Amino acid sequence: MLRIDWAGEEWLLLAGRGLYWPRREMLLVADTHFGKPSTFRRAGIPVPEEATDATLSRLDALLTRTGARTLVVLGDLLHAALDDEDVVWRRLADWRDTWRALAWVVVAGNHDRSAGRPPTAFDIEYHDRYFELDGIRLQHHPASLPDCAVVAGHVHPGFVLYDVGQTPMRMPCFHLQRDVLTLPAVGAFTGNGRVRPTLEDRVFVCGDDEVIELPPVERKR
Amino acid sequence: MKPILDWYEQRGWKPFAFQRQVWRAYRAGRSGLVHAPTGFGKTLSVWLGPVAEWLREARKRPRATSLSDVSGDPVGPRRSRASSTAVARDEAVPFRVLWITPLRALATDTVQSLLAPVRDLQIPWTVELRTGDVTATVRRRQRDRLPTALVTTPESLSLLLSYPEMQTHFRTLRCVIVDEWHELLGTKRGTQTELGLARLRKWNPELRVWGLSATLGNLREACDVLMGAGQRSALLIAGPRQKKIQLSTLIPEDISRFPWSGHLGRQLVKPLAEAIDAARTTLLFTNTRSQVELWYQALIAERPDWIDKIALHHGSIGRETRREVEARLDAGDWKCVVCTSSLDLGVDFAPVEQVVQLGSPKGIARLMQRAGRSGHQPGAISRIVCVPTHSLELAEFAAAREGLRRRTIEARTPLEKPLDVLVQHLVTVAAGGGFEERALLAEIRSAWAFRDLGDHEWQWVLDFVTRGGSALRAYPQYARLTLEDGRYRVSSPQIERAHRMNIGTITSEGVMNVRMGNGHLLGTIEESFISRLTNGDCFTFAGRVLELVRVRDMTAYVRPARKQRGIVPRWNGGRFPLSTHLSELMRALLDAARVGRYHGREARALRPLIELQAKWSRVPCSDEILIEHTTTQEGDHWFVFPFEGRLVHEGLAALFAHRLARLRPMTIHVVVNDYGIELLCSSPLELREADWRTLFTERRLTEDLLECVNETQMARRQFRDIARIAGLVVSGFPGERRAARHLQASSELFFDVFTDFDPGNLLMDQSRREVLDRQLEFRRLATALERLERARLVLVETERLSPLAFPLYAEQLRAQHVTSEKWGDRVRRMAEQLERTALQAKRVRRKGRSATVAAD
Repeated sequence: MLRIDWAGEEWLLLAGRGLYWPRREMLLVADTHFGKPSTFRRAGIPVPEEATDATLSRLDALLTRTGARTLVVLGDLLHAALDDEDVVWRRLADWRDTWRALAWVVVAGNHDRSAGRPPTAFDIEYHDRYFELDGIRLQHHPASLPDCAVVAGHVHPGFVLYDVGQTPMRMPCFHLQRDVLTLPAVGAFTGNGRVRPTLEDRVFVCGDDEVIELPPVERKR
Repeated sequence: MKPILDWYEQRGWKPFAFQRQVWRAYRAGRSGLVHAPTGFGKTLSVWLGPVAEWLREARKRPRATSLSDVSGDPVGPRRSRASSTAVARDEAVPFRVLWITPLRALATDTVQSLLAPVRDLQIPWTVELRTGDVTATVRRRQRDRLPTALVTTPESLSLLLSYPEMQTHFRTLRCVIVDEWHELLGTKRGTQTELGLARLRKWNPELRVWGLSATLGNLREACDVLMGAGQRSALLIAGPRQKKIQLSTLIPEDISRFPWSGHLGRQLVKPLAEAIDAARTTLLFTNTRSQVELWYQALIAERPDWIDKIALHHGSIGRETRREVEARLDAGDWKCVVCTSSLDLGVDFAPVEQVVQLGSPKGIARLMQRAGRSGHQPGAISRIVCVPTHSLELAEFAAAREGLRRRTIEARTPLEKPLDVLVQHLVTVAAGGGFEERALLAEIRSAWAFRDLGDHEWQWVLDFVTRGGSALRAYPQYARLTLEDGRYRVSSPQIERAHRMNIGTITSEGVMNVRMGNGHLLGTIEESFISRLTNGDCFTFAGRVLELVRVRDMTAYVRPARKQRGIVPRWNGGRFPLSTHLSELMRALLDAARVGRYHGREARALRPLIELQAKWSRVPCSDEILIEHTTTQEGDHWFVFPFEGRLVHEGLAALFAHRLARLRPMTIHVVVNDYGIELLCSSPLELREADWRTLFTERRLTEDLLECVNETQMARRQFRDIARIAGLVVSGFPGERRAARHLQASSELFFDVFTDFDPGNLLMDQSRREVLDRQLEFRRLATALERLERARLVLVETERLSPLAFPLYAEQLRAQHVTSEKWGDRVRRMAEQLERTALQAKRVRRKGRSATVAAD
């Protein structure tokens, strides 16, 4: 867990790929991509359903650790449209049952637009475009805005460090540009993109139980 | 046989004894493998058997087909239409002969050479091409009616088998000919061919199968694999021996200024140009596509007036350009063609007078094959000129010369049970009309690669395609194949379509088209290379400097660059490892040099370098292992020189690193080449003789190797191909829009998800097995380790990098690393390093000095 001050607020970055906002008791994550394994299986590509459980246990760990009262998913909650019989609904419903007291907020992402809204039974406060709180905009796309700070997801930021002899080591990361903070994907079967920070940016890489800030670096495209 | 013999006579030819032998055997209903060097009439030996058979039958038959209808239309020497006979398709003799060739590029020429006797003998046969290059219209027409003879690739055969109507079409098939079988043997495409043949044999038990092969160290085995399990009666027929090969080497004038590593050796550009000048037409072979681009540029720079006289040719260049280059090569228009293996198979280009091998051939079979591309005049000698790109290659040429003298030709080991290929085949068969379990199992086991397929393995593969994983695990909502009334079929038309898109075991991963703004296709390039460029960057491709304009739909759009220079792409085609034979010969050569005996010009030229090695370190004799230690800014470098070839070194290095990392937390980086191993450690590492002894021990070899396969990137890398072949990763075709976006996932992601949740997955097991057997050559590795264990160890502390160590040090591509450090410790260490480098760069910039070092 790593503390930063940004946009006039205190934040905690968690290795489990979540961002905690203590003043609001709010946990923010991005890109769960629920239903991705079943989407693949339906196309004849075997992906174990345990990938869904792994994402849910990541959320469990984050929620337990922080004691958050609100969970915000910054888009791509669902991966693709699924029928009512899909196994993933049962799992999500069970999970929701164990966290009944939790307020659950979702901001739609590009995948959600084709996947459709989750069942009302999940009791989700659903925002089609964004959600603003104390002058901080929570949305899916990491776009810079003129007069507010943005927390976003979408790009699944990752970073590659090169060890002696140019051996690459890939890892998910938080990417903080001046007024945009991009969260790593929390979904277990999602993969990483690659950020190309400038010298002004801050990059925090996630391991299994540790978040480490890297020195200022520039990675050109 | 009479018409055939007459045909020979008309042309002023005489059949070779082996050709008659093959014709007789074919007539007797036998199958077999013909081996002979290129250019000795192998093609006609197998093609005229079926032709003669038809002529015989036609004579007995009342004349249903009038031969006189067929006009002897004057056809140019190289027409590129898929079909070129005068007979109408519908009236031609039904499907009889299937010709399988490994290279698409070869197929068109094959059609032409098969057509020659067909035309002259005026028989109503059609000969057509069916490869990925053939238009959809032709392919559709072929699905309605096949030609008399079809020339195709293993992938296209597989694709044909995925259509239900083929079983009917193939009923009339008499003979399958597999060309260049040595190229397919030992590859997954070879296994794909075996499975295809098993199916055809089942449809037609009388089927005759003939293979054509270059000389190999294990011809009998090659024949057995082609014929399938349990077929023992096949013949092995030898053609004439390859003519004499004369090998000469360009020796750099000033060896002290010749690079110790690298792939250019600029000093030799001038003498090479002179050698090219001296011959009418030269084929210049390199080992990589990048080298083709580099050397083409270097030659043009040396002789600007050759711009229209030399050409380049490699597998990534657009088909039309390649065809044009080949046509003009055949016409004798080129002074020189710079090429890769793309031209070392198949067709002979008569005008080729001289062959140049740039860089080490790494194996004697390859050297012979390439040398055979020259000297087609009767009685001519094959001449090959070897050009080293760095000093030690002189030693490899000397070894190759010795190898040629002894004619010790390498073997190709066939593959055992690649389950990914089986998974793909099962879906193919299911699409092609479905299958019944027991019957298919028997058929599969008749393919050599799967002759020992266990019941549990078969069950797992079946489960994998029906349930997604082993029967005990639930993969809800999964369906690729479904069982209905005892037959397995593909679950949906979408899956069937996706499968057909994905058929092919070697269609390479992430390949992009390169097009000019006007749409003209230049060729293909790897996505991983393009992804590192920004729009506006320049790179060299197909001999020109191009500027990247934009990337869209798996296509890189480019325009001619104004700049003179561009980055040379790296294609991921594997580098050939030094063969066992050549490795042994290299060790013998050093052993002799150590006591001052230098045989041959190459070895004598190397003398100053070997003496330097002796002065700065030591020249190892054949019963000792040299270990050098040097410290640089980067850390402690340990160099070990077993001279066992790249693959074995990769295994040994991983093993050593793994055993070291067990001692305490550290990260070890490993570099290998054909001569030795470098271990580079992140923290000081002192090793004494006793330590090395423990690293070299054979104890727990298998266990340790398995552990390091799991821990390193090796299995993960190997899994890339497996994931694609087994249909997990849907690769888009170049130029087409990517397969459905929401079904994109990398093989890495699959590797992780199976590691975490389905460790029993046999495809994961296969990737480990492939690393051990194929990549690390387990057997060769065990033998090598045995030699290390017995050998005397010589530890030398060197002040600077010795001639042997330098190439390892300079190697850019780090093979792998092994780590036992904690994640956080490692990241923090790298972060510190990152900070230091950034500071240094800043300082260097301030001083106004260039930080780049001129490299060869």
